[in-house]
This record gives sequence, C-alpha cells and structure tokens, in this order.
Amino acid sequence: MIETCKELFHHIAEWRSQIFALAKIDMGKQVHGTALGWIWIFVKPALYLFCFYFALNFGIRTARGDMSDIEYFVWLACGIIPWFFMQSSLSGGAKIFSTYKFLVCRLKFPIDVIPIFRELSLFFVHLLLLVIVFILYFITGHSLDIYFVQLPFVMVFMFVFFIAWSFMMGPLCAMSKDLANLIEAIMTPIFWLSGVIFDVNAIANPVIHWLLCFNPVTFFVGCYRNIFIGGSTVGIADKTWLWSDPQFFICGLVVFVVTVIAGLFVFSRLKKDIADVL
Amino acid sequence: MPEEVAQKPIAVQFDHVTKRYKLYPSERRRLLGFFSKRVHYREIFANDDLSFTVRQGETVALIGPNGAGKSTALKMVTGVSYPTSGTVTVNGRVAALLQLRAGFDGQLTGRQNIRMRAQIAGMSKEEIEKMLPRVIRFSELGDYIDQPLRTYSSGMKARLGFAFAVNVKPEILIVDEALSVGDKRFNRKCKRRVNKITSRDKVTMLFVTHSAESARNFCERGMVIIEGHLLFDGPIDAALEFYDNYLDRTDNKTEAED
Repeated sequence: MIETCKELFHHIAEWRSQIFALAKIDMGKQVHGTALGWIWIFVKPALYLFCFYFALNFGIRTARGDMSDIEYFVWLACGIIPWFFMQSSLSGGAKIFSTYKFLVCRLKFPIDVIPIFRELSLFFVHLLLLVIVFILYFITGHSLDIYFVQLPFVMVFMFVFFIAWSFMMGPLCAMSKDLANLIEAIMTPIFWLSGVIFDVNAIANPVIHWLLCFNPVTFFVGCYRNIFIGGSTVGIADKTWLWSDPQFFICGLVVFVVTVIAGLFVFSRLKKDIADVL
Repeated sequence: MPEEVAQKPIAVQFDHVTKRYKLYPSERRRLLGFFSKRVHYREIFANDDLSFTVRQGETVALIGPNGAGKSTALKMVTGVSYPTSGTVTVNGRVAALLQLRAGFDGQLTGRQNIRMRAQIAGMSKEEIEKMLPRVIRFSELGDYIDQPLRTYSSGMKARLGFAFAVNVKPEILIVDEALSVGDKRFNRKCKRRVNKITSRDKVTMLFVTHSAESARNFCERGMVIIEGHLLFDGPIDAALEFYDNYLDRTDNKTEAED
C-alpha cells in the first residue's frame, strides 16, 4: 500500500504536463461540438438551483426556518453547487476506468493518474461555479470574514476524498457491473437524503442524525454551509469554526481517513487486474 | 547467436512468465468467486512459463495458431497487462501496431487524438508540432483529420493509428497482422515504411503473423508459441518448418480421430 502511494506521487510528478493536458481535454468534452460552448457548464446548476428554490420555497415550504427568501436562495446554492461536483465525482469516479478504457487497455499509461486528471477537470468546473456562489453571497450584503480561511482546506479535503473514492470504487465497479449499476441507482436517493435540500441540524431523531454525520456528502455540504452562512437555518447564525461541532467534524474526519485507506488498499490489490476485466 | 547480437542490450525479456485467467460459468459465479475460493472455475494459462530474450535490433516473428497466447504476451510487452507470475522486462519506447483502431477517444478529432497520444507518449511540444504534419500526410485523411473520430470508418481509424505509430520513433515496434489495413496502395506504403524502420539498427521488432511469406520477409528469428508454451526459438526458416511439421502432426492426429 505504501508502495502504491509512493508510485502514485511519482507518477503525478512525472506525468504532470499530461495530467493538465488530459484535464483540459476532459473539461472540453462537455462543450465540444456545441454552439453555446462553455455556457453549458452553468446551465444545469443554474436550472437546478432555480428549480429547487421555487419547488421548495413556494411549493413544499419545508425546513426553511426563518430565513428570508433571498437568504434561503444563498443557503440552497451553498448546498447545490458543491453537490454537482460531488455527484460527478461519485458516479464518475465509480465508472472512471470504463470511461477511460482506452487508456487502461490499449496504451501504456499509469492508470493511477486517471482519477487525478478527471478530478482536476471536475474541480476546475467547480471553482467556476463557486464564483457564482460568491457573487450571490456578496450581492446579499455579506462580506468575507476569517471563517473563509477554512474554505481552501475543505476543498482540498474534498478533492483528496473523491480521488480516494475513485481508487476504491473504480476497480471494484470495473470488475462488477452490478456494483456500477448500484452506484448509479443510489445517486438520486443520496441527493435527497443528504441534507443538500434540508437542514441536517433540524432533524430531531438522534439516530438518523448520527447516521447522517457519517455521510460524506452531508459533511462537505455542511462545511460549505458553515463557512458561508453559519450553522443552522434559523437566520444567518453566527458562524463557527468547523471543529466546534465535534460530532459532525470527527465523524467526517473518520469517514475521510477510512476512505483514503480503503482506496489505497483496494487499488493496490486490484490495479493489475483492471486491464484484464474491462 | 551471432557475436554482435549477443553483445547488444536487452530490449525485451520474459522470465518464466505465466498469465492465468479464471473462467467462470456465469457472472453470478464470478462475483461469488471474489469472496469464496470454493466457487468452481476453469483455469486458462494464456502464457505458461514463457522465457525468452530479445535484444536490440532483432526482428522476431511470433508464430502460432489463434489463441496461442501471442497477443497476451504482446499486451505484457506493451505494459497494458501484467503477468500472474514471472517478470517482464522492456527497455525502450514501444509502439504497437496492435488493434490500431483502439487507443483513441471517439469524441476528439483526428488531430486532437494524435496530440493526445503524442503527449501521453511523452513527446515535447516541439516534437509534436514537427510530427503532426508528417502523420497527417501519411494517413492520407485530408480534411477528415479535423473531424471527430466517431465519424471515421474503421479503415480510416486504422490508417491514423498506423500513421501515428510509425512516426513516433519507436525503439520497439510490435506489429500484429496490421500490415493489411487500407487498400493495396496504402498497404504497400505501410510495408515499405515498416521495412525502413526495421532496417535501422536500433529498432527491435516483434511481428505476429499467420503468413509465412511475411514472416520470412521481415524477420530473422522465429518463436513458435502454442497453447501458451514456447515450443521453438531459432532462425526464421527453421521456426516455420517446425510449425509446419507441428501442424501436420496434429492434423493427422485429429483426422485419425474423426
């Protein structure tokens, strides 16, 4: 396992220009051949944001607390924008070796680098979309404060987490189409269950609350929300540092560490077999 | 082995290489097989204790029936697959004229694909820009070079693959019946180019073929691989003769059984 890790860093260093080139190509795939071009990166998240805003705010009116309409919009954006990154990373990470089959099976290519450039491409897109969140944030009269120092750390954690996820699920899903189908199938349920749309802290049932704390999506959405808006839906609460809710923070950390170790373990065991099963 | 060849550095070496595949009767069994060793499977030894050494500049033909394990061995030379046991050593840049249509991204154009493949092969920006016009010219694809690959016919993809592989300045060239791509004229062009490449001292070639004539034309040494085993390794004419005799023997055997 340590070997795999060392090899990974060695490959990243050796292939770094190829990584950026491939990330660029990967980003371009969405817009290649379209007339509107890069605008498409914003279309889906924007549509979803407005959609959910209207559906939840005027339609369902749930778990919104006392926030004003516009604050609720920002609150939603803090959940939905990271969700887009997470969804692409979760399902894309699982399918990654199938998507890049030609790099695995036909060419001599260090396959541990494939999740790296894929996540990089998704991450760049996420950064672009984050600009929108910032714009919304400033428009509603808020300003930068010291809590934003945590944002780069959260983003790095997220990036590393999803690479570990790809290392863990990628080989397994390549070997088992059943698993690949399962991951696809649970994407929508995960969205609805993970507190992107509702506030996790408002859930009274302690068991469910505990379970949700182990959900990485909940964790990262919670981090983003904390940094931008503060802990709960009752108005824009006072912001706190991420570790001031120990249950939330420690569960998230545990999931992170376990995933990284599992990812390295699974990948180091299975990497030689991936080319044979695809 | 002639003196000069024995002195040259090793290009490819297989050391007791075995490649084993597990064949399960169904998908369900395969999944269960991950967890329990008791699930029944058939073992296939695609390569069984293969050992050989190929030195720089040699031209070797791999001869054998379909399914003998030649492509499996070549996949391991290309670095795409790993042996179940044993070691594979490869020194030098490998260009494989194997499954020419693969190795490309269908959504990108021909030009973008060449750039990507060249980048993956580690060529610098200047090398790539110098190489591009040569590749485009050789492939004879014309304006199609800027169309996405999914619009290409299989022959066009093969031509692009070939054009790329011969222009990448390989040190080890692997050819798998790929000299029959495109029409006759393109074919001849490819054969001339492969000849030109292999006549350079330092390029090692591994050639898989069913045609004795091709083997004799391009190679000096022949290895006969049957059912995963290396049964003969020597000068090309002797190898071809060995293979012929083998076929005669097994043909007689099966005819006697029928």
